[in-house]
Amino acid sequence: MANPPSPSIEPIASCVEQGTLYALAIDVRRGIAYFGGSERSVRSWRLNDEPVRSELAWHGRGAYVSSLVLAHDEPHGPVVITGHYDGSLTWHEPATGRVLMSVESAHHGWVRDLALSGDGRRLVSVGNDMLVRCWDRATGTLQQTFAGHAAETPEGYVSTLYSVAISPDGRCAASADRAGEVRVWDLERGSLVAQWRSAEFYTFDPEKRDRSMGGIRRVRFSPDGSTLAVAGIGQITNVDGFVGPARVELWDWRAVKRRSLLGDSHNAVLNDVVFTANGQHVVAGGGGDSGGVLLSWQLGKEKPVQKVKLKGHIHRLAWATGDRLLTAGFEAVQLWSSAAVLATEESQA
Amino acid sequence: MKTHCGSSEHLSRRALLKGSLTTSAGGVVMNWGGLFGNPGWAEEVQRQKKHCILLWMNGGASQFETFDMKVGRPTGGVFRSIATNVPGTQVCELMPHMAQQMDKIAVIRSMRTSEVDHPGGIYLMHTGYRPSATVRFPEVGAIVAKYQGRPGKDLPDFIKVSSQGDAGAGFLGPRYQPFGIGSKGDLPPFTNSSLAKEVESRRHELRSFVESQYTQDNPSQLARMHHEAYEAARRLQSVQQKFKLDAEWDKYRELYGDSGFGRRCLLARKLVESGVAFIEVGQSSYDSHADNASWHKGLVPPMEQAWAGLLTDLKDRGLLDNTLVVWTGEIGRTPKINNRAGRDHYVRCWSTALAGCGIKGGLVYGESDADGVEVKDSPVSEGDFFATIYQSLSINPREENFAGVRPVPLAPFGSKVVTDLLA
Amino acid sequence: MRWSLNTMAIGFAVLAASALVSADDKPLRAVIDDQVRAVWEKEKLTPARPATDAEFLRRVYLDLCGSVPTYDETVSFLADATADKRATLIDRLLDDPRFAQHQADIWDMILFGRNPPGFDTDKREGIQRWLREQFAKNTPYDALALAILRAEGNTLDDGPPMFYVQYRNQPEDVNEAISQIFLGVQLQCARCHDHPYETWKQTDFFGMAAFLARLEVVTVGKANNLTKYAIGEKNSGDILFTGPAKDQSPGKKGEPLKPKFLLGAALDEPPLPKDFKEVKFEANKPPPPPKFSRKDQLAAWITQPDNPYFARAIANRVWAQFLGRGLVHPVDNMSPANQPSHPDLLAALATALRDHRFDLRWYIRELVNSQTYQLSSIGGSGEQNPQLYIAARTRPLSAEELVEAWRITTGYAAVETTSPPKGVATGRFRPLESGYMLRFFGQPNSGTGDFQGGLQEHLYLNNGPLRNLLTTAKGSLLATVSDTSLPIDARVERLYLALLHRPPRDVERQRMSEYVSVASAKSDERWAEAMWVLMTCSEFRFNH
Repeated sequence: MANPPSPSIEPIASCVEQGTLYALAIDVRRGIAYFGGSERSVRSWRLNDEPVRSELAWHGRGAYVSSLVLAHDEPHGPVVITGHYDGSLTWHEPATGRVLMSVESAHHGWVRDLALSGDGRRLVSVGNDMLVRCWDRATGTLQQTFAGHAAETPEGYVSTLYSVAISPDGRCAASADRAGEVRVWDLERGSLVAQWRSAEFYTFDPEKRDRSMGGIRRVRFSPDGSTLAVAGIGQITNVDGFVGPARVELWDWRAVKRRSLLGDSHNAVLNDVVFTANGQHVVAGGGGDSGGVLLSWQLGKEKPVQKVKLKGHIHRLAWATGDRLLTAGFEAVQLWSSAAVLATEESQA
Repeated sequence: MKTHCGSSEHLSRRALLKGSLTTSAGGVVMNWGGLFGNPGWAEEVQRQKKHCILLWMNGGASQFETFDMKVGRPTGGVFRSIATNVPGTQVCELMPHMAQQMDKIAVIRSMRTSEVDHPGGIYLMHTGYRPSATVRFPEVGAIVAKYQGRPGKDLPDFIKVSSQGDAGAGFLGPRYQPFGIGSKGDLPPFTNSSLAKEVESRRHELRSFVESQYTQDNPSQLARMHHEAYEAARRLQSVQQKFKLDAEWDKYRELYGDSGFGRRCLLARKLVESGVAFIEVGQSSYDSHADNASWHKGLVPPMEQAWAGLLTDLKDRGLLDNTLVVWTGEIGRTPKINNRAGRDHYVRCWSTALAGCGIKGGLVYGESDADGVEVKDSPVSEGDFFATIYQSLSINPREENFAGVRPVPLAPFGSKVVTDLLA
Repeated sequence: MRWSLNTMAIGFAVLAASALVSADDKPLRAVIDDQVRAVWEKEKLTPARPATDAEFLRRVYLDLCGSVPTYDETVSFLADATADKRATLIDRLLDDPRFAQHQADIWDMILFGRNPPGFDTDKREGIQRWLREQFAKNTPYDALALAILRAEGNTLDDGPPMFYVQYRNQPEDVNEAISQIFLGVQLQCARCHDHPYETWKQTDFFGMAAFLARLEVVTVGKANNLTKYAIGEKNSGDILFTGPAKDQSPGKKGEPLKPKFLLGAALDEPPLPKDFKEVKFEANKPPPPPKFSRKDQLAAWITQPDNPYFARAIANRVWAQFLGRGLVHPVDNMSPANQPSHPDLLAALATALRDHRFDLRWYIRELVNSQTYQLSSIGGSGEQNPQLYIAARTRPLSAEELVEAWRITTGYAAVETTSPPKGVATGRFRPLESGYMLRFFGQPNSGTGDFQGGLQEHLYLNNGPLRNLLTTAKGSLLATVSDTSLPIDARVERLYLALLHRPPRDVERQRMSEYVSVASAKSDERWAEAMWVLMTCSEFRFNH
């Protein structure tokens, strides 16, 4: 198995940051990454500049920045939208940090995740109120609210709606929660089009710890829109930590049929997952009790073709130009060559 | 002695009694018979009996997600603080019910203890002592059972409901062992008799006859104790409904919150009413090395609602003046949020809380520094914490028991009672 | 005042004087009775009557073998008319394999207690087996103690190292334990401060601990899922003395303290060569012995015949094992502030034991043959350990004794098949679970050694699986007593002789007959209830 980290694989560049970064987006045209998290501010990194350094883009609202998306508003330029743990959404002009607009109570409780349609017109959000909301990205007007994710897991523990994604055609949104419930919504018709439970992602211990763990931490559509990847952690042996196998399931969401399971024996929760542009590889990042991990799979193979262990947990992944991959997480943002990340078993040998 | 329990109309009488009640351990127990001979006095003695409920946060709850908010600081985490019914005191937004009970409790924000791992911490925060290879120290519950228990009644003096710790009675001996109840109210093994009532009853009569044959010309103290313990075990058969809540739960569901911990807190109140000296109620599990915020979000709300309900209920029934409610776990949690978005073990500066039985309400004692890393003011050690608990329960913390020939004070040598916490 | 050289000199003088006592060929048992009686006379005390044969039989059986006689043994002993039947019984029991097992059980508790501090000491079959072997071949006590203190070999194949393993790398804890067990003295107060009323200074405590500061527990292998440990000793390393505990501050560095025998001389220690390099113990290899072993020096000093503490400590400890109260009580607190109740007797016992080369079986034979031991337990004022031995002591049966007594008296042991039914526990406590028995009966006393009993013990007795012992197989007690072909009176008599080792009194005979003769389809249920009553009553629960 091609599991041991090869010493040749190093990130191209990395910035040491404070706290944990939960949010990340890249202005690919200008080569600038924006990220934020527990420090409550948003920082930026000009990926092509030397020396490597990040700088403060703007001070936030005093709440964790949980998610961040970037749209291009022709002819004005880029707009960055951030979601926060105080339930708000804000629109920024990234060059100056100026707040263009805000929605104070987008959700009751924390905003957990945001996604933007390919055309940049629709913004979807999920929050601790277990709702999926669809907004007019340009005006901040609420267009739809989708309810259905339960506030408690079937076993009576608090659930969380962790993630939302928009299909490449911009028509559907997928959302997933702690109990392993996945729902796909039709944004135009305002209806539920698919629903299932991937219960393997959720562990509870009613006896010793009286607590639950796990959950689907991220959903993503494949480039052709036919497949939905859901990522998290498999069954946990000890709910005190992330002691369970890293897990990604690929679903034919229209047929509600699981296409494949991408697993690994490595104990980690996968906090984010992305497809490569050709749809042939899946890369996921997260971490376990022994540190962070980055895994890549070739479709059709259950075992990962590459595994990189690193110090900090990864919370977000994003593609930069030149097929480079950016990761953000605990005390770091790192840039990787995708050739390294996607190295096949053969090429490593 | 610095406690004021019960109503003021009995003050002079209580002052009279106090002398007899706060002498040495053996003395107290031996004197009960005589005191109960006088119905008026017996009633007074009952009224004066102190109780203690320990709310045990298994795994160690985070001070940053409960009572020592550092909003906006790098160590502060995700939660906001909210105002309470004590002006100037704020608590975590996860505790809206307790925010309205802050006038009843005293928070200690300056705990500094000496065992940072679970087994050592569980031992330490149940006994006041670090684990020792040579002495088996008793838990606070066994000590309260010994000094505030009532021999000869139906229920055990020391009951643990779904909680941690196996130090038990230690060198105080099996008489003070805890009676352990499971998380769903399940009783310990062998509590239930499978005999038909008439069979048990005739067997009991025969046994009494056989015991009397042994003791008729032999005043054996061992036989007396053996028989007393047998009677206690037998009486337990008739009071098992006291551990059942189903009939009443509907009435209290709203007050305590619909959770397992809420039910256990209601059980604790009922047991106090039935005269049990010490009840420990545990909640699992705060050991949030990963996903700290999610866990506290799941665990704190049912806990704090039950706790608030318990304080309200005790107060309404006039029991709070004689019942000390202790809130603690074995450790606090680190200021730094780790790689896994968790908080690790931390004992240099953390928080506990006390209420009732002469504890000043509305008080915050001690202070942590800006990031909650070190105690800034008035550190409280485990010894001080237990000395204060014993003092509040009218038990002299310097009272000694013996482990072999070694005299062991209830609170470790050198501990101070935090008198500022006592009214 | 210090009990240093002066008192040591007195100690030797006492030993010398009492050597004269034992020289006049009076058996030790007579010395015991004379001296105990002398104190009664002085205090004008009336002792209890001598124990009946039935009382003696059950008591000595339990004390020597941790078991009780069978019905047949009881009947035959009670009927035996020979004058020396008690001495004969004692000799037989001292040679019984159960004697070795029982003494090993007692020493296992002395060395480890029910809940040892940890480090795999809950699985210590190695040392338990080793103890059994030593008592079976009557190894002299000084040799036994020396082997424990030298701790050679490993915990599984040999056994003794397990004693140190429980105090892994804590010389202060080992020192406390060794001083209490082998020297009968309490040093732990001096661990933290000079004691105002005692002889020992802090430097005495740490001077002794310094002998043990270089020990290290080494893993040397595995077998049957158990780890083998050995005790390694380094060539260098000292205990650092930082003064009274109240003056401690973080980072305060102590002074290295050299080994010093308790209230005696400092250890004469050869210097290490200049080019010396400390060894590092490797896993799975026996640790090489040090060039000069401090531990072995201490072991030799403790067990040498003229050690002022050693002989007194063991003489007193074994005395208390059979008589309840130590001549110095508690047995591990010999100090100027805690004088013996019978100083001359203690001196005589220590001298005699030393002169008999620490032959414990001989010593025990003398103790249980004494009239003092053979008094009735009835006649005191009901204490566990009556003052000045005016009556025999009463003690709870240990968990092991209790189960064994149930197994014998019910006839379970006699009729059990080699393969127990499914779901029934195997092992020493069969058919009961050792876990529950040890939990509920393992520690029936408070920290000061007084019986308390507890709720849990009775919940188990009342509602637990004692019924599993009441087999109805032919030859079992239940089968015998519910056999209606025998007269009821004979069956009641059998019930008492089997379970309590005495015939019933008239009132008992009558009451029990009434209880079991109620017309009922299941008469053996009544008998089973009667058996339960006698199996759980005080007379059964205690050795008296």
